[in-house]
Amino acid sequence: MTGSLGAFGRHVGRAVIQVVPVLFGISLLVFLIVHVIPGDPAVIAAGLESSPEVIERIRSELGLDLPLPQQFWRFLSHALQGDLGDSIRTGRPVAQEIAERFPYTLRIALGGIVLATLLGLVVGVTAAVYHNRIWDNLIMVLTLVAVSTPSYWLALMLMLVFSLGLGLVPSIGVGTPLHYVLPIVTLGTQSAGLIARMTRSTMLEVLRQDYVRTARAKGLVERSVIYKHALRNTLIPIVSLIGLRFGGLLAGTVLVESVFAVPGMGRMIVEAVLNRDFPMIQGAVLVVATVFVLTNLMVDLVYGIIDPRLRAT
Amino acid sequence: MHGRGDLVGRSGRWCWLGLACAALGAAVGCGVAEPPEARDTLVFAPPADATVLDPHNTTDSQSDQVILMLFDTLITFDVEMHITGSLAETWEVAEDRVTWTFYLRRGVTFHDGSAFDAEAVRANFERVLDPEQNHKRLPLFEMIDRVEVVDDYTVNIITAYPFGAFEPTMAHVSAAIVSPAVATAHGRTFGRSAEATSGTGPYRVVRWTKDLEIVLERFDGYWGEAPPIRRVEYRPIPEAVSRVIALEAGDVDVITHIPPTDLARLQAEPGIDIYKAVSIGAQQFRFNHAKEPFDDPRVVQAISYAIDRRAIVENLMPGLVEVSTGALTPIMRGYADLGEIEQDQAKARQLLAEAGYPDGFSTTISTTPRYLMGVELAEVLAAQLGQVGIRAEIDVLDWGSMVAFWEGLLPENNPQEIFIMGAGASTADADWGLRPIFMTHPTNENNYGYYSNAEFDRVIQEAMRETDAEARQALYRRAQEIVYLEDPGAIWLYDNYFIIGARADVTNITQSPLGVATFERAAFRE
Amino acid sequence: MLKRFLANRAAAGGALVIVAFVSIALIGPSLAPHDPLAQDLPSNYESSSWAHPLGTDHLGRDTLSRMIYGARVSLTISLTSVTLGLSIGMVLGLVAAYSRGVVDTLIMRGVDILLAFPDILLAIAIIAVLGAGIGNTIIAVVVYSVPIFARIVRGAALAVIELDFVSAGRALGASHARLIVRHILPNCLSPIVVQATIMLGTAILIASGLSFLGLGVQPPDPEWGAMLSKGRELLRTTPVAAVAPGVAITLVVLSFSIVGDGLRDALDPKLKE
Repeated sequence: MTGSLGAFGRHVGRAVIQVVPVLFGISLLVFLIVHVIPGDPAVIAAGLESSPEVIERIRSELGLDLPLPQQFWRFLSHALQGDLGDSIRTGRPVAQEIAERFPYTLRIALGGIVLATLLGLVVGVTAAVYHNRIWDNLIMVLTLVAVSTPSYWLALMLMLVFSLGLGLVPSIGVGTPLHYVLPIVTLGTQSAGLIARMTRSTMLEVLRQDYVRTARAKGLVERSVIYKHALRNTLIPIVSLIGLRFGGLLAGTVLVESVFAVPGMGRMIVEAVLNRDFPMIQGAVLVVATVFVLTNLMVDLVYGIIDPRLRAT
Repeated sequence: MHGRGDLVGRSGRWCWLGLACAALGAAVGCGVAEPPEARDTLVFAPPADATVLDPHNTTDSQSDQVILMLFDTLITFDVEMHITGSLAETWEVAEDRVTWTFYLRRGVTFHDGSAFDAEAVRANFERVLDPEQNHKRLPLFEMIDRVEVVDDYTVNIITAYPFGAFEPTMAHVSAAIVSPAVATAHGRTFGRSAEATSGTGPYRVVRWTKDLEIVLERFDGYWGEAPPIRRVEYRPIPEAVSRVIALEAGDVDVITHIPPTDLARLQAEPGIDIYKAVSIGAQQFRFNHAKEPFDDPRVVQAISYAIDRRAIVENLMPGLVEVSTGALTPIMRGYADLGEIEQDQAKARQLLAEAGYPDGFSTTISTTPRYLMGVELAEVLAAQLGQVGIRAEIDVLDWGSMVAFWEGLLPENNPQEIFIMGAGASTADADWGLRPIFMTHPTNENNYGYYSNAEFDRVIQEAMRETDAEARQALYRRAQEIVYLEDPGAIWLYDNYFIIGARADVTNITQSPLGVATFERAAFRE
Repeated sequence: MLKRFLANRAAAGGALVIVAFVSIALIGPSLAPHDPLAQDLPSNYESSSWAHPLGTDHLGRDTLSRMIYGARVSLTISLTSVTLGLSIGMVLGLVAAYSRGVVDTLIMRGVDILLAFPDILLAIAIIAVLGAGIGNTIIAVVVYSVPIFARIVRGAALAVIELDFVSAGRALGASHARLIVRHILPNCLSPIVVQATIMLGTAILIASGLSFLGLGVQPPDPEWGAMLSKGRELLRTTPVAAVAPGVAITLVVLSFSIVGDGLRDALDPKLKE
């Protein structure tokens, strides 16, 4: 027992140690990207009507006249102390800008992933159980429609029907819980389609395997076979997929945020890129990536719980 | 079409200011009771959030739009772009044509409670002119030599030379007066949060959550007539289709930037009013005149004649714009009506042949979707240029990449040939609308196309120092003949209307030709 | 194997649709009723008619003709990017799972870095640096999909490697390549096929998302994603022109998935007995 716990502890330790180089890699990558993109943040910060002297002054204020390695070091050492710098465009601390937006993105992402997981699992299992029958086929077509419908399209359709047509929910904004319904449904639907398909296919795979057949042969009730044995073993790829999707949603989904006027991370990042707001891009990517990495670290730990064999890796 | 749109500007701060007197300021604030009806909040959905609520340090119209609700200038434009008094009741210029005296309104206080006086005016212009503080609007005020306080309510602003566009410049939103106390306390972060913003305007900021909302509330100490609506919320909606749906669903009361595909439908809808006003905004494509063959006026003329502006305006932008008739829009000071340039393919081919390109040439049109229909416009231009033998490819760039080509670059480093450009000099005056853009300049400040014409330069410089209205108008007419017809500096396409969509129960929205909407006189219909 | 595939009626039907789309892409020019680039401004925003069955767009171009030409661009983007992304991702994932240790760590940390990077930022950055266009859109989709494939393949492969027959193969001295290709790969095809078929649609959707932000395929080339994105403005005036590209994308994804499922069933070694 203690041995097993120790192994689990080592697993956690290793996973945590792996996070550090990833975060360093991300910092380096975002720094490089920001400096490779054409466009001069000093010019954009100064405004198109500024004189060259003003632009030069802003450039040195932003530290953009320093050699690249020095700029990177500056960014990294400040970030480690929790200082992400000031936004070039708004002049406010990047950390504050992120803190204002992250809650909205988090709510929508959480809502979306919960909805997607519940819907996806139920639908996926149903399809697998009714394999190759009409329900299965119907469900599979629907999941594909869900997966191949662009989010902004679904968003606008939902808005036309449920806000403008039926007047059930507000069209835009984040004022009340009702405001979150449409964004969550939009995000949830697409992920649900993916999760349902993944659930169905891994489930079918598992149902064919010997131990399930054995269980069936032993005369275990069908329902118990499905849930106790099969589902448990399909969970690994599904949890992995959920982790990935959630991470993706956390980066913000600029299209959905734009349509529903949600002041989230996605819009912030895209605006920052279009305006070459270097500190903002770097800070936002660092924060989003950190949360993503932590989420997937948790997924890895969940693996260990679902399947003890993987702890040893 | 001249003047204002049908429903526009029945009232509005621009007009009211002219009528207002000192006594009115004293009467307000105590005399008006809270309106009894429950509806006291107006929700306005612009396409983007403001960036900085500091009039001296911002150049985007979404910020200006909010700034106009919070701050006042010494003198201001009314809806017809006439100049009237505001924080200054009267003003005059001395015989030397450089000393401008402003007689200030008494009893005006800033949102933070500090008093407005001549010292505050001096502090403001010293703030914007201080090169150390590096405010974005400094170049606009470079003609000011010094500011002198005569007494508590009289101030002299002395320009370095007689400056023809002085009044429009002083009426410009960036000449607004901020609270020196708050500005000093917050330094460079002034205007970047609710607490760090203070002016003398009819509303004050109570909350600002980036990209979500700016909440304004009526300022009870306002010197003018109290605004009927207590609370105004700005909720940016970036996506045009959802902006329209939100208006129709009643989730917002007022929107701007209506896409052409929705305009006609909204106009027919009974619950929604559409307001149209001529504006200072125009859409152009410019040339890199430093590059062959755009250094030859005949080639540029040929391109100009190859374009069918009517077809573009009537089909792609119906109801949103009018074909350009000059290098400025009709509402601007110094505008000269030089007529529409009609498509003439034979003339275009002939000019190309004269210039040595009988078989046309290949070129690239650079554009960005940041402008309404920016990509579609480039597609139409490419097709129409193709009809006279000019083979144009299209290069779509994101905003940041586009801007990179326009600034700090020497002509030899700029590969763009024909590029999209919006115009709209926010002083609504010919000087700012022509001089920075087309005058030969060693660093090409805003002359992104490296346009250079000796006669144009001479006329523009003469006009800048001319203070006689008629002589000034004649000079600007000549300048526009050169840059619009003889040696074109751009493909002049169309002048934008500034269009607002509002729920039918909202009245008296103030619509400025500068392309901004304000709500200090707005009210809800019973 | 082919016989088994064709016996699956749904899969055969899906294959037929794909063949139809590919044929349209190949011989599009002779099928299109109009020149897809020919503008006719006065007749823009038209609803469906005999002359324009799917209506016209902002510039009065025939939507049906643009759909037909667009098939070529969109299928090229979709197939090329998924083939490249899958190949690279699969190799990385298999190598990582099989070799474990340092190689695994290096590959998977690289994958983590790319995955943790907000995808839209990566795509915008690639387009901003390289310029918009079909080729660069493909690169953006490949960069987006490689880490996803790598992760899924590795996960599936790990589960297979644990199984007895692989260890048995190892013990019997089978070569690494043989083990990977003959034993590991066939047994983790299922999630790969599911992901790949979905990615075919995702590729077009990413192109569409880039167009939404104005950074898609360069005009005037017709491309479904761009048409779909621009079509949202026509949703309430000429719905048919707005919906058509969406339906086409869904049809393609649907048939690829059905074929994918059929393929998996046909290839699945466990179903052989």
